[in-house]
Amino acid sequence: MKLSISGIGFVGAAMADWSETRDALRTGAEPGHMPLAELGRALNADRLPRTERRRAGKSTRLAMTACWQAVEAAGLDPATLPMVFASSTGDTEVLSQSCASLAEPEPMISPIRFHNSVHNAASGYWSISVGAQEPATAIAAHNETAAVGLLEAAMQATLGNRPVLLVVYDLPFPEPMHQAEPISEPLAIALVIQPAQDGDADQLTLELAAETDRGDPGMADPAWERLRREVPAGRLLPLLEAMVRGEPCEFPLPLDETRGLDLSYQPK
Amino acid sequence: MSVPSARPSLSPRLPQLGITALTATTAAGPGQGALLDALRDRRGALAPCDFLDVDLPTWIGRVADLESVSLPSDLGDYDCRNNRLAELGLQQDGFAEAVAAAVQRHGAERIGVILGTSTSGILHTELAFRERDPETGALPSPLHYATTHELSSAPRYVRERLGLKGPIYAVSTACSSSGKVFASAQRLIATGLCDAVVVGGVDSLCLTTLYGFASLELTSTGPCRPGDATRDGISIGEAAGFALVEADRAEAALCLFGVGESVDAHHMSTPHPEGRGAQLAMQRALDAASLDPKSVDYVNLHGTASRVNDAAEDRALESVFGPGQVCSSTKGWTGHTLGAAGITGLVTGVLAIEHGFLPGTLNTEQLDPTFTADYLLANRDKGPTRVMTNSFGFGGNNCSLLFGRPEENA
Repeated sequence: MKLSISGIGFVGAAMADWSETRDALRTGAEPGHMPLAELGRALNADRLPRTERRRAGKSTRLAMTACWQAVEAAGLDPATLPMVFASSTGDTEVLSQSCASLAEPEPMISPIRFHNSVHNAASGYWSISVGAQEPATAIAAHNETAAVGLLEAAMQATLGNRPVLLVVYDLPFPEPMHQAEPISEPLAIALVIQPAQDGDADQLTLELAAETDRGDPGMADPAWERLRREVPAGRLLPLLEAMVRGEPCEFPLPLDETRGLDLSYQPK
Repeated sequence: MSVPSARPSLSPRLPQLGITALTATTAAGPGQGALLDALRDRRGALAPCDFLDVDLPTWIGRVADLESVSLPSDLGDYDCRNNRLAELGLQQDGFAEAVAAAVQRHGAERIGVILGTSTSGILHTELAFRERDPETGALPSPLHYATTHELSSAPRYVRERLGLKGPIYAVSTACSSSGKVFASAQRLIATGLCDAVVVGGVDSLCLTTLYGFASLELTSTGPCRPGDATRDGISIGEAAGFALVEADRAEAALCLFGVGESVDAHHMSTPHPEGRGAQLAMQRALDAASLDPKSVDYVNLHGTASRVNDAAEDRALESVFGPGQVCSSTKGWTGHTLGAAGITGLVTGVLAIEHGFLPGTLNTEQLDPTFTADYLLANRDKGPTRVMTNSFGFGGNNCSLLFGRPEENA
């Protein structure tokens, strides 16, 4: 599949948007740290209708912040875009709070927490916010979530011959779940992906590799490499780095122990 | 970077797929035969809630004896209620054997696994929270999060259990999940990445959904009564269902004609009152199959028996098919199996086609007088040739599947 990327959104690791991230990747500045508790203030939820704004969880706000950046960069009406929301965890805060309150002697879960616990909460709020009635999917594959998100979005763009909005996002779990599933940073990366058009743009090629023995691609900077490894959504960082530097790159995105998506990027 | 022009909303023409193996395990019992007998005998499988220590005045569709199902010892880390349900499901209707034969035809790396679920093995974590260390709050260790609670735990289990090597992932769009897996399978096959895909859904009883739907006042105090004028909510069920879909339709007795996907863009937990997104999903399924509304003999409704869902779905049905569309809900047998509802509806529709009958809605006595569809309340002897099944979920997420015998849409 031959694709191009017409908009990027980024929020996480103490970076508020893609332009800040682009500068950091260009100059070699390290990503920062933003604890889950401080995340709310960094997020842009002001375009949600008032009721939804009050109700939306952090994972929704995180994903939507990245989505707005990507669709604005692409110059597209978000209502026209099919939506692929990929997250390894969904809303870790809501899930942890629910499991805790369901373990009390009088188990309960509030209506809002319940509807925020579904994996497609973020795509639901997003579709309400932008008035989109195109297909929206919410998928997961643990540490391979970024790879299958990219795969699903690429297939939809290729077969539908149209741009598709992809967002890959994760939140750290609060304790005690963090011990069982350590994710180090909140992170969301949104991409508007479209079929490649002749000659005028960057080109991203995706192929299913029969067997991959090239292993995980590392990033040279240890702090970026930690972010790539410690957050499932971070697996897309080597692609973003290549785009910022305008350098071609080739690397596998593992789908399991032995197979992966062969990804190659060619700047225009 | 270039700025593409926005395109009008079109359902891409995805390939029709052969359905070469199929199974469902519901509260009616393991395998299609148990569901068929229950449907024909009009014997529901719902019972007053006796799940763990849950104290709620509602009825549930529980799969019996999951507690005694064991997983192969080398897959022990996957042990949780959801994967026991997956295991029980895989043992039925010769499904595992049919997949083994497909591996011979295509090769293990050419077969993917995409399963729907809403809550996966979250019960495992819910119960672990009860065992937290009173001093430190720590969970009992190890939790095995990735192989139990995590959403792709069941597709991973199924891949390991069946020896497959193609791409795997979970679709989790609440109650439309195991409808939408068919669209992802079409895409994997249309792009040439797979020759066959194991699709379906596995969703099991847990505290989150039982207490969650109760908090929204959406659970019925008795067995659910879809479409009834005095319907009072849903009965939650659990199920595992699987289909093997392939590009080649020649060997298949059944065929997936088209899938329609949409969102309401209206509300997180309430459908649009006119079924705006539901209309779109049904219309897109018809468009994808190049079929006329008249060619659909029977619609297996989402029909949860919630006040709002059933009314909105009837409005949507009228707008797509006109008044009088033959339909029914089978939630009175199995309960609403949430992330497994799409595959449960598909298997029910296939049983109707293959055994020449239509299941009338169970438990419903007096149909809502505002409805315009031909909402069957008794079984009918004449079977359908082309069936649509609807599944709609939180987040306003909708999916319709259209299927039948291959010769009915050659």
